[in-house]
Amino acid sequence: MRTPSLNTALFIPDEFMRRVQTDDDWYLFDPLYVPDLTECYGREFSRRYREYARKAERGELPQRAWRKVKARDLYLKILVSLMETGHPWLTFKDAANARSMLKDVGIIHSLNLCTEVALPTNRDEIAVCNLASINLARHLREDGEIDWQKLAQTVRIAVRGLDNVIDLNLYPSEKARRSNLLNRPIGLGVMGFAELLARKGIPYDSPEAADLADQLLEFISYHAILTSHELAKERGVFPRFAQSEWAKGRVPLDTIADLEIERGEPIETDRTTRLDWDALRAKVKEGMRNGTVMAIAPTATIALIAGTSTSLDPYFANIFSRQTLSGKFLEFNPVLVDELKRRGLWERVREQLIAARGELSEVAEIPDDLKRLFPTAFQISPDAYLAIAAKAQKWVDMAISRNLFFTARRPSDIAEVYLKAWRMGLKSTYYCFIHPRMQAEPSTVRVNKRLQKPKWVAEAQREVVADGAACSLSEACESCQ
Amino acid sequence: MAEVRLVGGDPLEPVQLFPLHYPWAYAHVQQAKHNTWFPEEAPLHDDLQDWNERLTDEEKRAVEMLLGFFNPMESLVTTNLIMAIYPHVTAPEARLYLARQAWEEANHVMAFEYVIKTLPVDRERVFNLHKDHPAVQAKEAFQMRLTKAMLNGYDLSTLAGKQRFLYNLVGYFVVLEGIFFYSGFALALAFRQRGLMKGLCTIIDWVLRDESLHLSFGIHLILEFLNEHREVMTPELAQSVRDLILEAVRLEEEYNRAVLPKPIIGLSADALNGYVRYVADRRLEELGLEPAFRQPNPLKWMAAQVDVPELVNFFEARNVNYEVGLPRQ
Repeated sequence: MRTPSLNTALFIPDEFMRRVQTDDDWYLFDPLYVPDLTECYGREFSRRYREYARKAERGELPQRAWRKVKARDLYLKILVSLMETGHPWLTFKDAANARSMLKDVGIIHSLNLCTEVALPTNRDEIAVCNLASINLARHLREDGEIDWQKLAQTVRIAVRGLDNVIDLNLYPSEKARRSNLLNRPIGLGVMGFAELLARKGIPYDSPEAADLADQLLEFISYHAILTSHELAKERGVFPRFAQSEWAKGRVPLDTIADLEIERGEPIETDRTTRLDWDALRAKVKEGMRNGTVMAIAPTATIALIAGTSTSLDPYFANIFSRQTLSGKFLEFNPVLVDELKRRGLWERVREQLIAARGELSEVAEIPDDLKRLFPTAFQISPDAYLAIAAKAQKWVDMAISRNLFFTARRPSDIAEVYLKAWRMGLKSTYYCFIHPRMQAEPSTVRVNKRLQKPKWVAEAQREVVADGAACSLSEACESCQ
Repeated sequence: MAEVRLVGGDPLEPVQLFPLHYPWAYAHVQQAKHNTWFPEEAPLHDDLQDWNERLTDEEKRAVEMLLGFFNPMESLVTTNLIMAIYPHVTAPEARLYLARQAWEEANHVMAFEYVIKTLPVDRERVFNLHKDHPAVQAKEAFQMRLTKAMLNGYDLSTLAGKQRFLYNLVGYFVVLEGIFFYSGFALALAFRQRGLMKGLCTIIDWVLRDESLHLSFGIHLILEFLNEHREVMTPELAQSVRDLILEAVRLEEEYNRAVLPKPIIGLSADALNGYVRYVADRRLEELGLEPAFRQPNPLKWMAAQVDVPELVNFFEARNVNYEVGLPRQ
């Protein structure tokens, strides 16, 4: 938490989140004295952890080997750091392990940098990311319906391509090659979800959006697994197939029950299916070419190249700038621009959109249906982000890099969101974006601070008054209006 | 407790902050705290490479002129804040802000020193510009004149004293922080528009955010002071405030022509001066005066650099959008 420019993540056991929930103590151990804790998860971890806690209390561990804090105090410190730096990312160890299709192969010690790859590692094996992402927006027919046949075809090509990559790749180390050839893990994901929603006229913050994520990911997962099974018949199973959950005739959806058993609590996500999974269960039992099939990556760069929205993320804003290695560029939400042009509004509202920092709610001339359809990422409720991720995680055997966007000002405002993410069985979260309170004075927009105070001044002022900095002015004072 | 006065109270009275009399001032203190940054957080290795491999000699001279102006000016602001403004502003929350602002100006000096130390600029040249170069010298003399007027035989209880105080506030908060610095920002950001000098521009992002806050505080202070002392803004003073701003515009135009004797890619002295006039009009209007130029902003690309929300690809650039000093519960 003192390294603001490193990309750090926490791999959090259920035991910790439970103790946050019940306001219990948390024991911090020197790993030298508890080496087995990183090699187990779930109930086994909790059993051993509690035993170490008892030992500590009985004085059987050296004083310097442990420390006791309130779980909630530590949680709060984590959240403060998250809000001030975007790090450390919160990822969940027991969900990652209990829902792993390779759980008998080995323990997952951490996720990868972008938090979507969940693979076992050990002294001799370094996991490798083999990733591809489907541009969902390119699978929309002219009539606004999804072209399911084309999508199935894309999945098939992508899975075969990814499987080829495993054999063609040049490996930086023998440990990486070994792990990749033994598990043959691939991670097919998606991008362009927000563009697809926008073109279909579905608001991101709606049950329909979550249902569509559910339907799409079920379909993609189904066909990815099917393709991997067919590849197994063609080219043989991956060397550790017999140790995998696939060999037991299980599919990713079935592992939610495993997580419930490990956690001892229900996972707050539904189990609805639309496709014939029993038929697929019978198939995977016969063979799979790949240890894993799906992971949803952030796609920050490839989505930009493909010209669509990133991953499962909404549009950041309807107009924004993107800072990359090559410079800073202006971007518009292209679906909105098309729609405004169609309605003959584009030229009239273009400047106002910049003044409103891409927030349609601030522009009077924009019709209400567009305001509902094109919020900024910060105007979408955290519940919508979690709902979409939870639906997708049903079908994804690795993990999802779920970015979260908050207008929150206090760590306590986001504490419940991460608890909820955990209860819904998410394996990981990614960047925590906080809407900055203050903006520099705009350059190209008409400004007169005498006539109109910037929004941040009013907000900061409300805050200092609400914080009990009692004001001596009368209530009629316009400062607080 | 002694009567709290925004300006002209007992300057030796210890701070007793609550209850607040000027919540806007305390709001600026809190926001300043959330904006805290340190220069070394901005990596400059790519800038060094840009400097050595991609900048033309004209562009390097322009950057040196920029540094040669910002560096001494930031310390001049500090001096004026402490010696000319702080002794007379007596509301506790406003004093707290001025103290904080003084730290920020010092931080800017350290930031520009960090840049000067890192890039192979002609150090002597940069540090002597404000003494050697007529255009930089003229801007400095303009500011010095305002500070000196506050130090010699000065009496705030008279109308003339109050007017001189207001004149100084305008000269520093509005002219220096609200006009002079803004064309410097535009010059630096023009490089980032071409993918150059991104580390320097990260520092400029921070400085610009700070200066926006100083300017906002300054406008609040000026308007509140004028509101409490209605007799101050006579037609004659309004005219001399206007003249002051127009004189500053002339100095700035002269300076920009010296910075960019020939256009560089994406920016000319004419375009930059158009921007200066556009910003000057904005400041005149904020002071309740008539705009002088009524010209559109020629630097439309500044929208991408400053106006719209910024999404940062984390592995590729430093994200400066996080605020610090959150409440811990």
